[in-house]
Amino acid sequence: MTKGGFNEEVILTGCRKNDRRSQESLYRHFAKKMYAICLSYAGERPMAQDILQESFIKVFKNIKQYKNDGALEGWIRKIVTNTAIDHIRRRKWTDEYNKVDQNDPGMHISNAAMNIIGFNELMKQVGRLPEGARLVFNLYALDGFTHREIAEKLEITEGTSKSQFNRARKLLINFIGNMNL
Amino acid sequence: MDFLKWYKKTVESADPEPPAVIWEEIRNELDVDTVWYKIEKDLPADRRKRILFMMAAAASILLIIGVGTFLYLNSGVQGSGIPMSHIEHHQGFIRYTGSEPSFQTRLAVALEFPDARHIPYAEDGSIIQAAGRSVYSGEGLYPLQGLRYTSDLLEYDLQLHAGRVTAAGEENRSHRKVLSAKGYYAGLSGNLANTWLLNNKTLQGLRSDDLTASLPSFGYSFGIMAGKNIAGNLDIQAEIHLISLTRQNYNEYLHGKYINNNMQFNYSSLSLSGRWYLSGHEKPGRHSIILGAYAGLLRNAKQDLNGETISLRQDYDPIDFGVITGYEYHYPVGNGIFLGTGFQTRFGLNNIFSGNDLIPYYLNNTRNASINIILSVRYNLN
Repeated sequence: MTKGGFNEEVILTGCRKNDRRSQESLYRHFAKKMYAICLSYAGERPMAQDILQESFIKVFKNIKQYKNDGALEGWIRKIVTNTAIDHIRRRKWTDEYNKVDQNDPGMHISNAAMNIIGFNELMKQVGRLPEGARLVFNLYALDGFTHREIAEKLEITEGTSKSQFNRARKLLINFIGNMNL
Repeated sequence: MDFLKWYKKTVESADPEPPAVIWEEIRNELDVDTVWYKIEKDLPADRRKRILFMMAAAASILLIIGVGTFLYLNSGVQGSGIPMSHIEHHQGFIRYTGSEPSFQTRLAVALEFPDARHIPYAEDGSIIQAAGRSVYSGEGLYPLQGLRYTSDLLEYDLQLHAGRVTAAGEENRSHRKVLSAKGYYAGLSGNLANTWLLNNKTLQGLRSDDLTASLPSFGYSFGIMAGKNIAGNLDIQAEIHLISLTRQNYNEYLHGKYINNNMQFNYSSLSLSGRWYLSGHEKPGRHSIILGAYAGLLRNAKQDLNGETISLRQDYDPIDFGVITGYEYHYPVGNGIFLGTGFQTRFGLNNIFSGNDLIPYYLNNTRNASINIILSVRYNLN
């Protein structure tokens, strides 16, 4: 399959042979998209870079396990998401969460504000979220997991997942609402 | 616009440029791995590792051959192996009326009726036996002639032949009845074990001139077991040990201090083994050799470092598996109950260290091994 000069089959064959040029092509093709995902989970650039690096190393080391049975991008994204979860878990996110001030923000944000805010500004506000709440929020909003799936993945209760998600949403709306737009 | 949809769209449509250094870092790490694999390939094979691997492979092959032979011959007993058209029921005995039986037939019958060849018979194939007296006639007859219909009766007949039918003999027979060839059994089993986590550090610690000292460490396991006699002298036994504790104690000189490490792994294990009895049913106590395999599920793992405890659960593989060899002696204590004791060795076949942020899995190849004293009590169900 060729997408914009990127021949997936040829690149995959090269990657399976541990060919550096094929690996670099694959990396450059997906890196930007995956970096955006990493930033949204990490909330900070240094950690997002670590996640991206570790994810692609996992991709290249496990590329033989990819059986061309689905979208390559989806397979890589799953690895990125799982790596992000591992990183955040290591930082004991539940403790971090409890340290955050909990205001009672409004639940809505205007369409005008949504049209103005770009990716970088949004990531700045996402970065202010506590890690645990940010992780749950991204798993739900970005990757479409249900609260039950999130609870199983993170070994927390479904109720905790819901409360973390609601808190993250409220905080994010509040952060955006307080921006000088 | 819905807030969540807007968020997802904003993130997924973004294409921020990751720093160029990330690719360099990825390439460096992959290069390091590639070089290591090349080095490993060129290194002479570890002789000790090769011997252990060959022993494990040989044990596995023996187990497969044993089970395969049983299944093949067992199917013969039920249909194709023993030519039933040449079997006649005659005065409570089985007589073989065909031409000279094949090796396969002899072997199938020998496994089904292990003592059959000792039954007295006459030249015409009839049984010579009256009022407990047996006369051995001797020559030129096939081992299949004169088989008794069931194993229990066969044993009793052997008792008659040997002139050992006494009150004690009757009692022994009742023991043997519950040890009969078709018996199921169940019971409790436990092990007291000298356990080892074999890796470079603990092996080096066995040398007296090394700063690391590996110390004898002990664990235990206990649980339930069940088994069945599947052929003359062969039992197959399954054991579930919910608690199976493995320890490794060692001292090492670290950052200017001599510190004590105590690693402790708690598994739940399942094992399947074949037990080949060296003696027949005529002896009250029986010796057996054990060959089998086990799989363990890691429930928790921790390390005590001079009193400070850290969890190792994330650094070790949740699954361990390996081979079992050993010896066990069973003695009847009455009412179908048997006590067993013996020893067993277990050797893990996989590297249980799965790596962490500091050490990749291939630089700390670690295997479970143990020498166990077996204690068991079992009850024969029929």
